[in-house]
Amino acid sequence: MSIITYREALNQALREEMDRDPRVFVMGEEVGLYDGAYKVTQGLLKAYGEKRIIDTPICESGFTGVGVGAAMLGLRPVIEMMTFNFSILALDQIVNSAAKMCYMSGGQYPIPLVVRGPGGPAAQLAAQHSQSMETYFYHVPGLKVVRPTTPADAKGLLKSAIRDDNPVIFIEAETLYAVKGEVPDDPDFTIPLGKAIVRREGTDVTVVAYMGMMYRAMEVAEELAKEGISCELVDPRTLRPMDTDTIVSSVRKTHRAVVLEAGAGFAGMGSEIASEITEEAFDDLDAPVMRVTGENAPMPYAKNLEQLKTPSRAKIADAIRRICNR
Amino acid sequence: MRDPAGSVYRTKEEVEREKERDPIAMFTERCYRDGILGEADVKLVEKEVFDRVDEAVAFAEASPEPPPEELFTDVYKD
Repeated sequence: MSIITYREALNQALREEMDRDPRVFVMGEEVGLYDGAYKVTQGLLKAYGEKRIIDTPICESGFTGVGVGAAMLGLRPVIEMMTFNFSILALDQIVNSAAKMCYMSGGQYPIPLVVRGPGGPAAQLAAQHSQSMETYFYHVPGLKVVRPTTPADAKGLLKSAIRDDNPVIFIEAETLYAVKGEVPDDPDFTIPLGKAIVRREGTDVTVVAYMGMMYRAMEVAEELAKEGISCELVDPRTLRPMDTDTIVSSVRKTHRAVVLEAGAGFAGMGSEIASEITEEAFDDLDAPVMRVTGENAPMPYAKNLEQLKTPSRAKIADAIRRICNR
Repeated sequence: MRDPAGSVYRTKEEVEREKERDPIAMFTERCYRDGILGEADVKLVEKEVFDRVDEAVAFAEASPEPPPEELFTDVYKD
C-alpha cells in the first residue's frame, strides 16, 4: 500500500495497463506535450512516446471516432475528455457508434474503449462546465458507467475499465484529484466493474452516494452518530451495471434509505436507485425512500448560489433525521 | 490560452509571425488605407470599448451577492 493522490492513482493505472498490454494507448487534448490539462497523464509522453500518447486537435467527435475505429481494429484506446462536459460534442460517436457497434454487428465488433475525464460540480466553473454528465450515458444500453470515489477505486476501476471489452464511460472529478488515500501497489490489483461497496456500516438508515456526495455523507454520518443515528453508507461505484444486490441487502437491514445525488434530481441517478429499492424491498421499508439531489437549475457562477445548488451537509443531515423520525 | 509564450506547442517565431496576422490590427490598417477611419477615430472606438468593459467590471464588483431566488431565474422564459 502507498498513500497517493487520486490523480496519481489514475496515472499509475494508465502506466500499469500500458505496460501490460501494448494495444493500450491514450488520446486526447493536451494529454502529451502539456502532460494533461489536470496532469493525470503526467510523464506518459516521455515514458511511452508519441505513438501511444497522442495529442489531438480540439475536436471531440473526431478523436472519439478515431478511438471507436481503433477499438474495432483491435486496439484498446483510452480517450481523455478535458472535462466530461465536452463529451457532449462526441455524443454521436459514443452513443451511436461505440455503444451500438457490438450489437449491430452481431458481436463481431466489440468496442474496448474507455472515455475518461473529470465531471460533476467543481469550484465556480459555472453552468456549462459543472454538469453531472453520467446522466447522459447510463441510460444507453451497451455502455458501462463508472464514478470512482476514492484513489483506490480510481486505480482499480480504471484498470478494469481498460481490460473490459465494452465501451466504459469513466467520470472522475476536478475536486477529487488532490484527495489522498491508500492504494495497493500490486500491478494485478483491480476492482471489478459492477460491484458496490459499503463504506460505513450502520443500522438505522442506508445512505447511497458517490463522489463528492459520499465524502459529504461520511461527514454527516460522523455528526449523526453523536445524535445516536447509525448510518450505513453504500457507494455503487459503477452506475451501470448497478449492483442493486448490495444496495437492497443494506436496505433490508436498515429499513430506510436516503439517496444522494449532486446533479439535478429530475430523472437522475437517485430516481433510478430509489425505484430499484422500492421494487425490490418495498416490504422491508419503514419509510418511503428519500432523495436529496441538486436543484433543477443550471449551475450558477456566483459562489453563494453555487453552494445552494448542490446538497449541503445540513440538507443531507435533515433528510436523514426526518426519515429516522428525529 | 495554453501556449502564450510559444513554449509548449509552437516556436516563438510562429507566435510572432501569427501576431502579424492579428485580424484587429489588419482591419485597422485596412481602414486607414482605404481612408474609412483616421487615427483619432480608432482611438475613440478603443476608448469606448475599454470604458464599457471597465464599467461592467466595476458594476460586477460593486454588486451585492445575488439573492437565493436568482438560482432559478431565467432557466426558462416565462
